[in-house]
Amino acid sequence: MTRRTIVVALAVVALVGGLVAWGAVWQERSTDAARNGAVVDVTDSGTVQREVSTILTRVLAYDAGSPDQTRAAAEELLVGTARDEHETLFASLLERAKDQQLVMDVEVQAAAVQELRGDEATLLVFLDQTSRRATDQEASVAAAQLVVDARRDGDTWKVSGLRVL
Amino acid sequence: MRRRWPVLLLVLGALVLVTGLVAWRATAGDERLERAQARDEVVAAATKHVATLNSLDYRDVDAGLEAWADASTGTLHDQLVQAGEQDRQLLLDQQKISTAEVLEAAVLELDDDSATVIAAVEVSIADGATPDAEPELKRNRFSAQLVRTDGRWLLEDLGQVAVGAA
Repeated sequence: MTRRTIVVALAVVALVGGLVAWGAVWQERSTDAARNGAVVDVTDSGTVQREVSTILTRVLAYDAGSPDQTRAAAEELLVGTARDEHETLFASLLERAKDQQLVMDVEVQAAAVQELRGDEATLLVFLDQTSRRATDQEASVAAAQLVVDARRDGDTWKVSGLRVL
Repeated sequence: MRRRWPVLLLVLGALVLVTGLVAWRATAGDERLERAQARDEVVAAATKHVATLNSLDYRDVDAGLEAWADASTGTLHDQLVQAGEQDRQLLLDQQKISTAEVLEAAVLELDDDSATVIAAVEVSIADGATPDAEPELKRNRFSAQLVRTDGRWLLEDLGQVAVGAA
């Protein structure tokens, strides 16, 4: 074996070893877990959690005295399929609300981010809906669980999907 | 130049090897990746254990109680073991078959060895006395505390998220 052969052999071994290491790095960083920023990106996760909670309290609240408020909030804060889903959620309620002069308040009990990829996020939200009849102030509380999709629009998040569990 | 290429190849090889190893070491110690992995592990564990603790088949109470004990740790574990012994006969007499499914779960908080997970659960309760009847379906929402012990995420506390609790 000449010195030259040894050098070439060493070079090939180093090259192969290096490529294997880089391959492992690439694989680790491109897993599904690594691409999901939920909980990991603390600031973004916190922001989407807060903003989605606020949006839900606005678009799911209802006051028979000023029904346009809910509609305006939905118009402003919902995008995509969330518009239709919200419409469906509210259709049956609106019937009742008109007759009974309902006032509905929403309180988010817990909201946690499941997925966060770039400008898209998915959250699990537990909320309470308190409805009060204006006529006799009788109140009832209902618990709800929702999977909410959110989309970042410039600086703010908007709700792009609503699914009641 | 013709005689130099093996040396150049060696330099290139060494470069790729060194940078590759450095990048690999950095990945192994990357907190973000570890945290992402822990997040997914804790969701998987919570999904499994919360379902377990909401399931029991009166035809095999012992296996059910054992599964409860295996999914929990700390005081919750002790409570479940104790309650299991006390209520064993009651569970047998009630003749219920509860099967729980975690519909969705998400991490609320995550530290190195502890986590809070919220979970939406559907429990189907069949009555062994009237096997033809449709099982009763219940929707519940839970908040679960988990701790990592010996590499396993186990339930340390489990409670329903009550209406009006905030």
